Amino acid sequence: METALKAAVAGLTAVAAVLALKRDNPAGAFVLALAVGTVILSATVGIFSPAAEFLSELAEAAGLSGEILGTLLRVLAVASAAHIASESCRDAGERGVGAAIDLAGGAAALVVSLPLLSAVFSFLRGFAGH
Amino acid sequence: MSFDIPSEASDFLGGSPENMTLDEGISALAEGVASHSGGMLRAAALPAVTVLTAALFCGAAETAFAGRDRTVKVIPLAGALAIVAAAGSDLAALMDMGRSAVETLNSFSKGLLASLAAAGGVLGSPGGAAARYTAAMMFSDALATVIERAAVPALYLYVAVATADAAVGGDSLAGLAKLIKSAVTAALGTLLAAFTLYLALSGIAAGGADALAIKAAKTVISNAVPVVGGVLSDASETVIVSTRAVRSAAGITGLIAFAALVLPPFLHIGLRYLFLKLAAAVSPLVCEGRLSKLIENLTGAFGMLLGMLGACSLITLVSALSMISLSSG
Amino acid sequence: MQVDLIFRIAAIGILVAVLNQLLVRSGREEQAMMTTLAGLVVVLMILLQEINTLFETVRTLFGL
Repeated sequence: METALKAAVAGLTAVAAVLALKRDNPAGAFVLALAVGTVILSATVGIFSPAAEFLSELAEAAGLSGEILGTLLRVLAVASAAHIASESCRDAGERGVGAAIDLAGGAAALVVSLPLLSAVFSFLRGFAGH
Repeated sequence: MSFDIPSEASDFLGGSPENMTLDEGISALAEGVASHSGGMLRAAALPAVTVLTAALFCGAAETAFAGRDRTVKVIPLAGALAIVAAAGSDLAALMDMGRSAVETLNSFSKGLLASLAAAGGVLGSPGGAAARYTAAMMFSDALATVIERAAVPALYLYVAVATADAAVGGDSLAGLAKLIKSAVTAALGTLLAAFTLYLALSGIAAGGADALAIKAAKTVISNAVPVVGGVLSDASETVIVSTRAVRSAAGITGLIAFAALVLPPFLHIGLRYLFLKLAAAVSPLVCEGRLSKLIENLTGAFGMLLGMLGACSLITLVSALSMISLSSG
Repeated sequence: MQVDLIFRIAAIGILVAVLNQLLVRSGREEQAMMTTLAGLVVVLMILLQEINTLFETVRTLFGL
């Protein structure tokens, strides 16, 4: 798809610009890198929206299965966002901040995945009915 | 002939199996399967599709983010949870279906065997009929108890261990899961073998039923899960051979009703098993090893359930057939 | 895809860098620093807008 191609080209060009800026305006370089990442991500989410609609239809039709997949997607979204943010920080040399974001992202991802955990537990609890 | 046909059987057949000939019965069964197959296929494919999609998502995310980030590590955990949640809820539903089927089968078979025993007694071998009846009852009760008390909890334990294995890794958990599976299979197989050997050893009757019963026992012992694979093929042979000789109307009706009771849950569970196996085969392409192994393990859980159902059905079938051969020979 | 956004930010970044160099060369270091900061603020505001939009989209899409 052309979006992927456009994303690749935009990314490459922007990285060139970032490298050029790094010496004279390092903060600007960092922000530029963030901006490119954000734009590419927006495009990705745009691609994904018809699939997400299909999934939500599935969720209504199938009940539990759709919810499971939806929760999984949410976990993935949280994890992805945190990962990208922390990696960007590390790129800029701030490993400490990156690690903090990483920790927060992990905790958030765990929290979001709790419904899955409770689904598994409620299944296993059926064992107690014996 | 006085035993009640359970309503589930009549519903499936679209009518009471009383006074059906064998051919009518078989075609009614086939029609029942055909009319239900659409819904069954859809329902069976859904958990497998969910599982595979979850694996797909996790696989894609993992390839996108390689790394030892804490956040990235959550992804396979969440994926494993999602897969187990999807398969587990389905497993629980099927377990309920299987359990009610087994209960119906039990009470029905008691009635059937009682009336067949009476018929056998009337025809002149009361001792033989009583002995077989006793054996059948004893074993089916023992089997039901074993399944309820040991096999089903073992199944839950198996799923729990498989989940932990996928989440945490490590060989000890994987070994434990394998152990549980072999234990359940062995227990079921042993009970079945003991039952059929008892029937044969108590010296009752010759005839196709016994030879095939022994063969069934042998197949059971040497088969892995699902227990029923080879056994069912032998058992079907038995059915065909013996039913040719069956003349008593009670026998035919009972057999048809029995088949109508057993076929739907078998199909449901079997289809789920097949679809999951497909998903397990495809999954290594889309995600990494641990999740694929989890899917495989979950497939095994369904296989075990199938084995449990098969064991119960088999005991009833074998005892009914040996009774029939008594009452018509 | 909002490529123009990237161009804008890149342009501002380059502008700031050039101005920075000029001001430093002519000895006005504090003004150089202020220009850099100002450029940063502008760019950050644009960026944060964009990030906000992205998160909103993700939120509505995934129901977070």
